[in-house]
Formats: sequence, C-alpha cells, structure tokens
Amino acid sequence: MGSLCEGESARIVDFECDKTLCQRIMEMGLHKCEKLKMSKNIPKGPVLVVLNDSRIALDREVSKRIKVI
Amino acid sequence: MTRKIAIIGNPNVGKTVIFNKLTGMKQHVGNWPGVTVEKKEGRFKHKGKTFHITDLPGTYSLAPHAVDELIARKYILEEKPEIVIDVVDASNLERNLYLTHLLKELGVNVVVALNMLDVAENKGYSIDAGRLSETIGFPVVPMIATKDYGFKELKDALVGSKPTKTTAYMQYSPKVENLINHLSKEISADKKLSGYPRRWLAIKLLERDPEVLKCVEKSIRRQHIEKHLENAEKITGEDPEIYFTDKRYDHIMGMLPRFMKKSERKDVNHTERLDNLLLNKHFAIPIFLFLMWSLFQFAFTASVPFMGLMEYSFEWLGSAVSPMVEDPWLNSLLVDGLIGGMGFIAVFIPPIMLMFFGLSVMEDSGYLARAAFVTDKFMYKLGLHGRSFIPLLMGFGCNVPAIMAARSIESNRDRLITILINPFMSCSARLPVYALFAGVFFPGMEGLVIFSLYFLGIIAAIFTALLLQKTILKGTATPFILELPVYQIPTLRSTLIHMWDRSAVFVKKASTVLLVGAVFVWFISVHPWGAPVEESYASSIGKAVEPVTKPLGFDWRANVALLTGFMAKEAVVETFGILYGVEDGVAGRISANMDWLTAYAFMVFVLLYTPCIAVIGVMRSETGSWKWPFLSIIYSILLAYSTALLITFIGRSIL
Repeated sequence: MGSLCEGESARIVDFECDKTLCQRIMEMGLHKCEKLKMSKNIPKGPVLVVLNDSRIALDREVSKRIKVI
Repeated sequence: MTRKIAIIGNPNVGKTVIFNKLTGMKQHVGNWPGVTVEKKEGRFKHKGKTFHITDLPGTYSLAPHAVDELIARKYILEEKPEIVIDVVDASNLERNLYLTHLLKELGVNVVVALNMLDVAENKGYSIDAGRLSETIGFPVVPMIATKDYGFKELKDALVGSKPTKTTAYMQYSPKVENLINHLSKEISADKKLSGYPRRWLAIKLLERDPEVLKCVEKSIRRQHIEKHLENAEKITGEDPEIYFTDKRYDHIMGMLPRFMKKSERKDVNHTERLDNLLLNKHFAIPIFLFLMWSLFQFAFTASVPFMGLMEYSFEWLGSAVSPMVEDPWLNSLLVDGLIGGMGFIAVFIPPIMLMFFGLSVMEDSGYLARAAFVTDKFMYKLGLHGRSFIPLLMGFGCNVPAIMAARSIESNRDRLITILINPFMSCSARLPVYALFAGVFFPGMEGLVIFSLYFLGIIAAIFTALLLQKTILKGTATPFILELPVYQIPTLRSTLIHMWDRSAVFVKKASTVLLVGAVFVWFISVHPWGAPVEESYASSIGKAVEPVTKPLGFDWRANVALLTGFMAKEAVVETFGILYGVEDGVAGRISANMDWLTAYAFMVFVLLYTPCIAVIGVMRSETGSWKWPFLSIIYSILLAYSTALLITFIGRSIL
C-alpha cells in the first residue's frame, strides 16, 4: 500500500503482519475487500488513507504490510 | 434504586458530548485502577429513575490489544452494567456496528445511540432506524448530540430497557458453530467459569484471546477444552483471529442494505480541503510550528495578569495573617512556609489552565491528531511516534501538564520514554535563571546563549530516549495507527469541561507534593531557628557538598540555590538574592564570585539537573510508582554533573 500515489485508489487483498496487529488494523475498518484512497503519502513518513469517509493514518512500516491491488 | 449503566463507542463518535450532556456537571473524574486512563462517572435522573453512568474509553473493539479495550471489556464483564449505551457514528456504520456486534456476543443489554445523523445525511446516507433495530435486535435512538436532538428519546429508551436474553446471535459456519457448542458445554461444566457468558468465552477461546486462555488454564475441564481447540485450526482454516474478524465484517456488510441507502451525492468536503492545506507537503510543518507557537504565546501572555493576581493575593493573605500570629516560629511557618508555598503553586495554575484550554480547542477541532501525523516522521527516528510530540513540545511551557498530556499515548513503553525525557525540554521556569546569568556574563549575546541551552536540552532528550531504548525500555515503537477525526468547531462548553478536568488533576496531585516540599525548604533555610542564612541547615548542606561541586566552580551559595531550585526552578534566582542579602544588585555580586565559563556550566546544570518537585509529583502519579521519578532524579543529576564538568574541562583547557 505504501507505494500508492496520492489520489490513487485500491482494494485491500491481504495482510503480512503478526495476527494481533492484523486484527487491530481490521477492527479500525481496514478489512479485506475494502476500497481505499491514498490521501497523503509522506516520503519516508506516514500515510493517510480514506475509506468509508474515515481517514486513517498509518506509519510506513504498517502501510508496507497491507497488500492492495 | 440506582441503575448502573455504561457508555461505549468508537473514538470520535460524540460519546463524550452525550456523556457530558446526560450528566451535566455532576461528574467525577478519577483513574481506572492501576492505569492512568481517565475514568469518568456521573449521575442523572429521568422519570423518577436514577442512573449511575460510567464513561468507558473510546475503543474500536474488545480484543485485548490496548489498555483502553481491556478496561472496557473488564468493566462490562466484572461490573455487569444493566445497560450499555453504544454510541454509533451513523456516517460510518460498517465499522461502528463491528463493536455493536462484539457487545452482542458478550451478551450485554445494549441501547444504540445512532449519532451524527446530520453528518451521515450530508454524506448521502439515509438510515432506517426501525429496520436497523429489527436487524440487530437492540433499541436504536436516532440522535444529533451536538444539536441536542434525541436526548429525551435516549433517556426514555433507558427507562424502558429490560434485560432480554438474546438468542439471535450471528451464526458462523455450521462446523464452527458445532465447535462453539462443544466448547460451551465444557464451559458450563466448570462452575468457576459460570460468571462469563458461555458463547462469548467459547468464541474467544477459538480466537486464541490470551486473557481468556489464561482464565481457562486452571479449569477442571482444561484437557477437554484443549482437545476441541486442537481441531479448531482445521476448521477455521487460516488464522482464527482473522477468520472471526472477517466473518463479522461479512455479516455486517450483508445486512447493511436492509436499513441503509447511499445516494451518490457530491458533498462539500471541508475536511478533505483543510487536510490538503494543513497536511500539505510544504506547508504542514510551518503551519504546525506556527500553531504551536501561538499556543505558547497565548498561554503565557494571557496568563500574566492572572499570575500577578495570584501572587498579589497570596502576598496579601500573608500580610493579613502575619499580625494575627504572635509566635515568631509559627508565624514564619504559616506566612513563609505554607502561604508562600501555596503562592508558588497558585502562580502555576493560570498558565496551565490556559495551556489546557488551547490544547482542548486543538483537540476538539481535530487538529491535534493531525499534529501527530505531521511529526510522526521525525519521531520515528527516535523510536517513538507522532503521539509523543505534543507532550514534549508542551514541556517548553511547563513539564507538569506536559507529562500529564502523555496519557494519550497507548503504549506503556512509549509513554514512559516520553515522560522520562520530558524534563529536558527547558520549561519556562528555567528562563529567569538563564536571563539573569546570560545578562550578566554574556551581554549582547543573550539570545544566542539562551538558544544554545534550549538546543542542548533537546540533544539531551534525544540522547536519553535512545539510551533508554538500548537499556531498560527495549523494544520497537508500537505501530502508529490513528484515525483522524473530521474538523469541527469546538463548543465552548466541552472545551471548558475538558480544561477543567485536566487542571483539577494538576491542582489536586501536584499541590500536595509541592506543599510538603515548600515547607521542607522553608524549614532548612530558617533553622537552626534565629541563625542567619549563612548558618542555616541549607547553607550547611551547601557547604557540605562544596567538595563535589568544586570541580565545576560552584560555591556553597550556588549549591543552596540549586537545592531550592528543586522546589521550583525560578527559586534559584530568588535564593541568590536571599543569600547575598540584597534584593537588587545580585548581578554585581554574582559576577564577582564566578567567571563566564562557570556561569555557563551553572546554566547547563540548571537545565539538566533534577526535575522540580511538582514534576516529580506528577511523574509518581502518572507512572504509578516511585521507581521512575527516583531514576529520573539520579540520572539527571549525573547527566547534569558530567555535562557541566565536561564543559568546564574543555573550556579550561582551551583557554
């Protein structure tokens, strides 16, 4: 997900992280099949994604673990 | 009879607004046992019934990932509130109903407050509350809390709510249901587990919830339970945690169309526009710095008259009490010790309240979460994340509210690091010391000298943060995941409540410690009774440590000043005044007793050495133990000493 450009949209397909973190991400609304839009992608910094009208900030490490297409 | 109820919801759904409006000012703020998460309780009456309501922390789920979630779950399981109000954001039902679902699995009696309907409408959602209620099996009250809409209906629903045994649980696949049934039977066979909802316990076991697994360890049916669990993975396939989370979402997605329609409406999205400006690649950091600077300017400029007023009132009180007490010792204790000491604390109150006021405005408007986003990149390099930045920045004002602000950091390790490095942020009380010494020894270069001290403080903080991570607080920064709320214009009422809550904690906790400290300093500086200052206990202590401070070039007066600075750092300047026995003209006397290098070393020492007594007090209350404040005192004195020594040594060898 971290490689999406600002304004680009994608769908979540998988997570590559430990299970508790994964569950936590999902519980914040970032679950599989959900469509999201990259709103801000700070180089070497955090990202901000918009999904279902809510804005979720994630650090780069977490964003790398979320696989999107 | 009082009915015990609780209120829960995701963060940023208006839960606090509803709680405040239900209880008015009849609230009590404390801490949850063992942790420094705020616990708010209140009461209200409706139709002759009294309700005692507890505000549970804002949470997305009831899994034991964070303290907040654990507290909420523990409260529901152990305190068994009769009703739980679940505040749901109507504009984001999919995620909000996830929590509602978990509550249902937990078997609690829920009343859903369907809040923020106006926001949902603006986004083009239309929701049928009646059908939502039918589908999820709980009463649903449509609300717009900020506009006072729906409160009467909510209270009516609470009065009318009766405990019902839910049976219509969401069904997982037949094989999983079969497993749940087997596990439920095992659980009901053990009386010790009967306090928990059976179905919930079974699901949590399958989800491998560590807390629940622990409570089954001692069960008499343990072996049977474990046998069933062995089969689990074959059935749930992938990782069970994810299986269950996925299934719940599938279920919610499936039922959404039954009560919700979305019309394509291009709404004016002011939040996105503001974010484009405030989180802009080039402007985000300048805007952030400007806003923070304004916060300080506001807190410290606007509080000047109030601080003067406080000082004046206590001086007046002292002079009013003084003639009434004849005994000179008692007189000195009351006037110089107690009233003088209280005056010291009281002067802190206005800037702290205004700082919290400004901060509450930022928080309620939605900017504070953005500030965490903006600073995350930099903080990540220190092994922390964005949430730690605000407390550190506030430290430049006063470390006391700054350490309290660290409460918003979820991870214990990150919070401890943030608290422990906070005193190195040079607070405003140290400024008078710098101003005096820089003025005397570095005329024309004051600004540069003072700036170098602030900078050195930041270096010390960074160094300490890295050191702590390499030693006693190992581990990596917890992942940063934060929802950014929509921007809102904060209401004066909620801002004032917010400010008052936080300031009250400061006044209560810091004041007791500060007062004891003030009386102690008074005691050592006027005893043995009747002796001049040069022969007081304070000066004896100062002289006793002279051999230690000699390499730094500090004489006994400097030592005493440092000692009283422990009470409040601005007291350093005052102490020099008392010890030289002059009100004005301290400057001339000081410059006769030390050179510029010693003066710089002294300023560095004041910057780095032990946090003042008020900071020690909040460190104790915020970390819940004496261990951390003691560590902080010892470490910072050692750091101050070695840094000052290094400066003196290098300075002397160059000159």
